[in-house]
Amino acid sequence: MAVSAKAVVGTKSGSRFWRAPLLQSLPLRISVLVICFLWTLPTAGLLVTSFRNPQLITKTGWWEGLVNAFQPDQWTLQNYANVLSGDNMGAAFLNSLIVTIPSTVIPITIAAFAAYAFAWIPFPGRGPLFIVVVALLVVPLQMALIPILKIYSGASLYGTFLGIWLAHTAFGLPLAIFLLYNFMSQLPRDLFESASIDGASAFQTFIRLVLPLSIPALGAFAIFQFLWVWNDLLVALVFLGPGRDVQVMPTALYNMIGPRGGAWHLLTAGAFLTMIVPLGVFLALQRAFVRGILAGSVK
Amino acid sequence: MGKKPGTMAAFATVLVLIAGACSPQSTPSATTPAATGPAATPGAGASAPASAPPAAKNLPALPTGYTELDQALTPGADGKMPFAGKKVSIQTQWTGGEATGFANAIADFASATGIGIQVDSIGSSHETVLKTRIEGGSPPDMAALAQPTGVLAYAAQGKVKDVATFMDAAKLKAEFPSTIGLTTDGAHIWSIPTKADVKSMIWYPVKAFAAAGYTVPKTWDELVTLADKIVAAGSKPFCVSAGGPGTATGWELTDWVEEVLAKTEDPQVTNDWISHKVTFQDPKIKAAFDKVGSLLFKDGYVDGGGPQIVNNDLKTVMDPMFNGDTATPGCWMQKIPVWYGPDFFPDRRVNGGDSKYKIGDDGDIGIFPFPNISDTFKGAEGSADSFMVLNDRPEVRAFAEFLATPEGLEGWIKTVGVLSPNVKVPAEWYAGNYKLKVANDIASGATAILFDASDLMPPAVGQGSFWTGISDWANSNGSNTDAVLKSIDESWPQ
Amino acid sequence: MALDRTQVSASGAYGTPRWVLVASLIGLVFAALGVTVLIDPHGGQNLLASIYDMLGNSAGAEALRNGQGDQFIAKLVLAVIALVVGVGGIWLLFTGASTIVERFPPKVRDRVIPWVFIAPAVVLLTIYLVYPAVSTVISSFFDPKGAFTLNNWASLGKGEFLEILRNNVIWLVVATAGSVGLGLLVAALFDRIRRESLAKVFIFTPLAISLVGATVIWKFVYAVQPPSQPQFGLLNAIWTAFGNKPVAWATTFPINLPAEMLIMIWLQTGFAMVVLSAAIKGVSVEVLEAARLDGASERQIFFGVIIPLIRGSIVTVTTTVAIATLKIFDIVFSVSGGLNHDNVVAVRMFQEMFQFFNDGRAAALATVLFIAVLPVMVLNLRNFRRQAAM
Repeated sequence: MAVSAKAVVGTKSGSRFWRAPLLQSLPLRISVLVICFLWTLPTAGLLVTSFRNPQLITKTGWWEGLVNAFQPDQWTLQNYANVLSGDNMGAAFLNSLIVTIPSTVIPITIAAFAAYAFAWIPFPGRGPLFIVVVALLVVPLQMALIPILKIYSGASLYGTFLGIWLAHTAFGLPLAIFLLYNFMSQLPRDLFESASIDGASAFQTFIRLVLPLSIPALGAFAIFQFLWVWNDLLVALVFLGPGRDVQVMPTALYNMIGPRGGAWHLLTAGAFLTMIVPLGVFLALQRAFVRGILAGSVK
Repeated sequence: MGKKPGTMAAFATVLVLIAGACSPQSTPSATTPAATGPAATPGAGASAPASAPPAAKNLPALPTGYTELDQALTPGADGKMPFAGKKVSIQTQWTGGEATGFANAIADFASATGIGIQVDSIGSSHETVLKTRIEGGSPPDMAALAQPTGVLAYAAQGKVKDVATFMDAAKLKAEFPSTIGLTTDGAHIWSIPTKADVKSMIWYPVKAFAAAGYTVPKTWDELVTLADKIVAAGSKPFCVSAGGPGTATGWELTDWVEEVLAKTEDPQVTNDWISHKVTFQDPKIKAAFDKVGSLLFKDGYVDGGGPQIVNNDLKTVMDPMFNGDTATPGCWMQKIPVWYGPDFFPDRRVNGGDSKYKIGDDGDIGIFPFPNISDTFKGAEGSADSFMVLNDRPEVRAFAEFLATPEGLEGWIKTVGVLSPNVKVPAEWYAGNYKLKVANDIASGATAILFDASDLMPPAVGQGSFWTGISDWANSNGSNTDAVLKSIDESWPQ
Repeated sequence: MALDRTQVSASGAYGTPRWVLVASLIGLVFAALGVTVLIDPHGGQNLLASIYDMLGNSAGAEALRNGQGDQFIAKLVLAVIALVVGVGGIWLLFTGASTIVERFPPKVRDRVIPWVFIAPAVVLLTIYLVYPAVSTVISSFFDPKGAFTLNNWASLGKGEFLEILRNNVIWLVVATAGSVGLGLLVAALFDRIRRESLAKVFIFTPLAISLVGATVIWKFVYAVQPPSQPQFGLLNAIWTAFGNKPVAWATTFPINLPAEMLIMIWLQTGFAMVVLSAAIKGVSVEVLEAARLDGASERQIFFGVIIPLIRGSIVTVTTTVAIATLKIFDIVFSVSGGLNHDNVVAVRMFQEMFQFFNDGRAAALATVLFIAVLPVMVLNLRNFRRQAAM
């Protein structure tokens, strides 16, 4: 099949490029290290700060914590203990999962079907409709909140999980359709021709060919949508409300810290705790990228 | 905004009543809380634990003068409370100590009536979430708002219930003579002003003052002399933050200008300034800016100067005052309102629990009134939060009416400490609270109390170009006053 | 995916078994029931309470209904229902609808099937984005009292708004070019190293941090203290180590513009890297080998072979980042509030709407954003058309 050549890539790292001798690849290695270092430095500051004695956080730079790493009162786990023992954190974690997982899967599914239709099934009005869909990327979220809430009040969707799924889904759709369309439209045409000769319906072609081949793009979007929903505060505050039984993690964390408290030590620890899940998702999906490419080559 | 009274001369009379509580023999201090009035729960000035229940129920005696409130507090024929099981939601921006105080204030009402009260404390997203909920048609039953202009904007859209339709307007006006006018429009009363703040305060390290032989300045000239002494001794006199960044605003600096204006000009000038009859470029306003600039931007008065003020974080700006357990302060004076307190002190901010630093004239951190400048005009600056009623149901009415009674704030007054503009609040409730005593001293010594002018200007100025302009001004260490004032004037909505 | 492959191997030929139709109909009924649980604010408690009632544990049920008892278990029950309904429901919807349509006569089927595929997207987008967008444009022509006016638009010609528009243009050019350029560079460099996944995590990490966290992080980079005090901000610590006076990076114009844009670049480079790296991996080895055999240098291969081949992805990423940059809000809002000549359209729009109660002008500003993005979209679509022609 036409894809197979394309898909072999990535099986053996290093086969893609002619490997320079060590001396020549040294600049490459150094520049990679420098980039990684610079990119991580601000986050490293956050991580170090989250373990520092709160009294010192705004007194000395976080790197001084590393310099004086062996001073007894330099480090503490109390920041994390405080955040974890915070009011309502367990329920908030569950709520975050309840909100985030469907809010990631639903838009991907809807967008994948739509992108496939836009890319490969001719129908009248396809072009203009696609332009409108993608142009919606620009709608500023803040402008949409009040009109939607008006609908929600009438449909008693305010404060419900269903309501926030649909909101996150709709807000994520333009980007999802845009990304997936770009990817799917680049799939080779003969793939679809051979499927159609085999007698596959549009739905079967989608499920058995398009979807498996689109895993890298699906994974990429899944990551971004997951991150966006997981870390979202505004949409959750507006559509779920601040009520305790629907509180998500950012809301709970935010309530705990409070705008006037200036609790940097809790902020840093909280920011790190909320990062763990998205980072895990990224690592897991990164493996899925590679596997998706491999799966294509096996066929 | 022109018709809104900016002057709250009568507010002074409210606070004068507090004086009774703080009569000489009580010498209140947060360090010896138990010594004061019988009803007082300890340590208002110093972070009282919220859990300590007041001895008496914080409930008004029947009849209260309000229909639904009487109903709510009277058991029905079946022995059940008529509103038991009903729910009322209220959205506020109070977090930390203020949230605790409000929770204390309403706890007894909730348990006595059986009404479940859900308090949504939103913090700095309060105004955004509130507007979205109101215009989206899912408003909370009630909401607190600090800016009268916001209340009036919602009222103009027909989103707010007129409390005069179910509460006795005459009673409200009699009990809140100083603040009810802020959100009254003809016969309509759009919100209930229940929480007041006095802003003309300067916080200072008591022991270090004594050790260095400094005395509390009573006049502007004494303030400057003291500042020069502090500079000569190698320290910095003032800690000032523009309020940000993060929640970048500029309100602390606008407060400084408003304070100086209240102490140099007739209150009418402030009123005309609010309605733009007096422009920002008016010599009187410019003089106030210049006077503030001569203090804050003078070399050595604020560590790092104007640009540093813009960057200083409200939460941490006073930390240098605690250097060496306040023995060797890095800055000596901060002008900040009465709601400030131990929540912001470095030890409590970091570790939670009680601050080891006590507020009081014989404690660690004291408060003195902002020094007078003119002999004629001794205005003080204040502000007020008020409650809007957004959904009209009997149990909401009952709760709104409860908050309008003196007892509506009793739990907060007696635990965390807060000022009520209700003249019926018995003076002894404030007993033992150092902050509130100073607030009283300030109010009773003032010739007029002026409501925060920037909160009464059109929001595009009061929370917009005034903030942008004053940030610009501080970044340039006050060297561009004319240009800044001109740009604010130009931004005034037609 | 495992499911798909087993299906392929089991049935071999194409054709949908009847049981799929029946199963999806039954599933939809359950999904509808699940939705009723989810719409009820106390759905989880009530459901668990009914289960307790059935099991004879009426005390536990009563406690749950009163907001006590096993609240956490109720939440778990709700979570499971939510996941099953949310994730399963949407798949059932598509499977069921497609299976039904496939039973139509071929002519009708071919005309209907694309609409089945795009209908959910179109419906949701119409409600959640088109309707608000249209009402926004309309409301930009009305004043607070509901009278027609052009003032909201006319006022945008004033100096302060021109400054805001200027800042948006700078953001659009610099932050977009920076993010995409760096993302491409990183994707290309990392493609050649052994521990690629690990290296990518470093660049990706900023994306995983919540806005609150990112704000704190950069506060510790840009923080400024008076010259007399130790600098705990990283940048000023380095800067003053060379004998310079501390600089208020976040609030001093014009240095605050690059300082804020750097945060955006730091965040968006990871996005560009993920998408572009996937695209680079899509370039076939044979093409690269052929180029190498022709004696092309690695640099020539990168610019002459790889970039043209992944141009579609580059345009996609650039468009996405450009739109995100045009709408930039959070960074400016939380770093400086736009008080120091660094305001941007979205922040001002927010202020007009939520602080100044000036909805008409906020709507006009939002409309400016729509209009500003049109050229970007046109470029994009032209690119699509060229690709389609290829």
